[in-house]
Parts: sequence; structure tokens; C-alpha cells
Amino acid sequence: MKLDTKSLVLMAVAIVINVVVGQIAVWIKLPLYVDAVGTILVGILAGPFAGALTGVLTNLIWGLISDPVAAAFFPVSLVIGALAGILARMGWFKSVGMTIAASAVIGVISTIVAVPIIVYMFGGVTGAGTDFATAYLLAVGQELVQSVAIANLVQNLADKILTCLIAWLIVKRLPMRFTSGFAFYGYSKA
Amino acid sequence: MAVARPNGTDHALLYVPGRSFLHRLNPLTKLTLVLWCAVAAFALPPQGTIPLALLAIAVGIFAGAGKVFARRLIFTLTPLSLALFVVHGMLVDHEGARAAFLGLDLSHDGLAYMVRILGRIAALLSGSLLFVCTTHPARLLKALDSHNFPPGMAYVI
Repeated sequence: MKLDTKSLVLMAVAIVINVVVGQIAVWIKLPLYVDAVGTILVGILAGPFAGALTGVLTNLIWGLISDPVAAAFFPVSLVIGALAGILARMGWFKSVGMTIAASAVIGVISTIVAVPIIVYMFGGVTGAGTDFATAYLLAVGQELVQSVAIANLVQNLADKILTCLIAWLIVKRLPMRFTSGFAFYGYSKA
Repeated sequence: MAVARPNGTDHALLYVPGRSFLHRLNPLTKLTLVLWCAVAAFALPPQGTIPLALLAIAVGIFAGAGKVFARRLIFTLTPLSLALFVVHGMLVDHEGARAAFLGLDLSHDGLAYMVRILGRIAALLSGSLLFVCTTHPARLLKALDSHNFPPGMAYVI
């Protein structure tokens, strides 16, 4: 699939947004990731392929620059970008209510992809804010996989709702002169 | 990020200017070494990953990137070590003996597992730092371009 110049420029900007915002969230130990705003933005404007590619490149570049833990989660970002594009194609980003429903779908599916990576590659921790919730659930008697799954599902739902709403608001505030260059965006217009 | 000054300092990048063997190596060769490092980090036991990380750190210091290595390793490994220590050393019910230390009930197997994960991440991080600290993005772009990598993708990277 060939990407036009506008999509490539958007992807580059989206990767920078993802890495900068995501790294700030890691540094201040925020219990949210907020590292997929750019990925979802690209998914809505340019489609599932561009969204998935943005997600994969974000995590690989981020991993190479500073945080190899992020690189291991590239399948999660791939799924987030692809889902954002697919749901946008189905018209799920037309209103606030539908955007929240789309973010819940993205949150649940991305958790299903993330949990095996967290448990089997990193022993259940990632050095992020979720580790506190995982440790708490372990302390009250849950198993490791269950603790990681519950902590990440709750966090991912909150994170993806916030992330999708931010991306949706950005898209809605973009000038029509800019968005008219993205034919795919037609599926998300109310 | 600026990419037009391969010999100058650029504080937005982790790149450390220098003339070491690693600086002169083709970026794609270094990228291949990073991939090898990533595979080795997951395939080797701690007896392999920890020496691999130490070797990468030594080479990094030799290439003049000791400070960057120290800073990044501390920033990444400290929170992970603490989380792994609490989760696997104290909370997860690993099989095998447990011992009291400074009032903490610690699992031997849990601590061994913690060392395995940390060795893996240290090897991954050190390998990628070797690449990032000794490769200016402009040289990487030129190398990708010379191997007919799609210009659009090279631009995004």
C-alpha cells in the first residue's frame, strides 16, 4: 500500500507526539500511558494501514532512543492503530459517544495483546505506574496473570478513552483545508 | 530533531560525536548488531545476557558515551528493579526456599527470576544505546537511501 506525502508528514508528527507525551507520562509515573494519541489520529485521518504503521514505528523508534521496554510492545501499538482505522471506517468516530465506545473496544483488545507480553517478557512489570496496581492485587491474593490483566484492563480503558477523546478533539479542531486532503476522514464526519 | 549536523553536538539527540570504530561502522551493520543483541537477550540465560550487557557498556564507554549509558541504564533499570523486587521477591508465591532478610520475606527463585529479567532488559538497552549513541540520524538516512529503502519511510524514521 502506497502512502501519499501528506500521510507521511502526518505520521512523522504523530510519532513525535506519541513519544514525547508517552515519555512524559513514564517520567512522572502517571498511571496512564497516553502514548497513542498520534497513532489514533493517523488511524482516523489516514486509515488502518497508516495507523498501524505509525504505532509500530513509534514503539520501535522509542525503544531505540530510550526505552527498550516500549519496543517490545509494538504489536499492541499495531493493533491500536489498525483498530482506530477500522473503527473509523465503520463510522465509530462521528460523535463523542461513539468515540468512547470505540475507545472501549480498543482498550479491551489492546489489553488482550499486551498481557502476554507483560507477563512472559517482563515478569509482570513494566516500570510504569500500573505496577503499583499489580503489586496491590498480588498482595490481596490474586495470581500474577490475573493481577496484570485486571490492572492493565482498568488502566487501558481509562487511558484509551482519554487518548481517543484527545485525538478526536484534535481531528475535529483541525482546519477543513487540512483534513480535506485525507479522503479517509470522510468516514468520521458527522 | 535536527539531522543535518553529523559532526556537531545536538542536545535533542543521544548521539555522542566521535571517531571511534563504532562511529565509523556502517549504520545498517550496527542495526544488524542491535537485532542480534535483541534476539540474544531473549535466547540467552542470565549467564549470557549480563556479560553481553557489560560488554556493550564497556564498548560504549570506549566509544565515549559512558555518561549517556550510565544515565539511561539508571533511569530505566531502577524502577524496573524495584517493581520486580517487590513483585517477584516478595509477593509472587514462587516455589522453592524463602529467607528472611532485614525483616523482609524474600523468595530465592523470585530473586533469580528478577535477575533474569533485568539481565535481558540491560542487554536490550545497552545494545540499542550503542547504536543510538554512535549513529547520527543523517548517516542512517544516507545508509537507508543507498540501499534503496523507500524515501518516504526513511523520512518518517
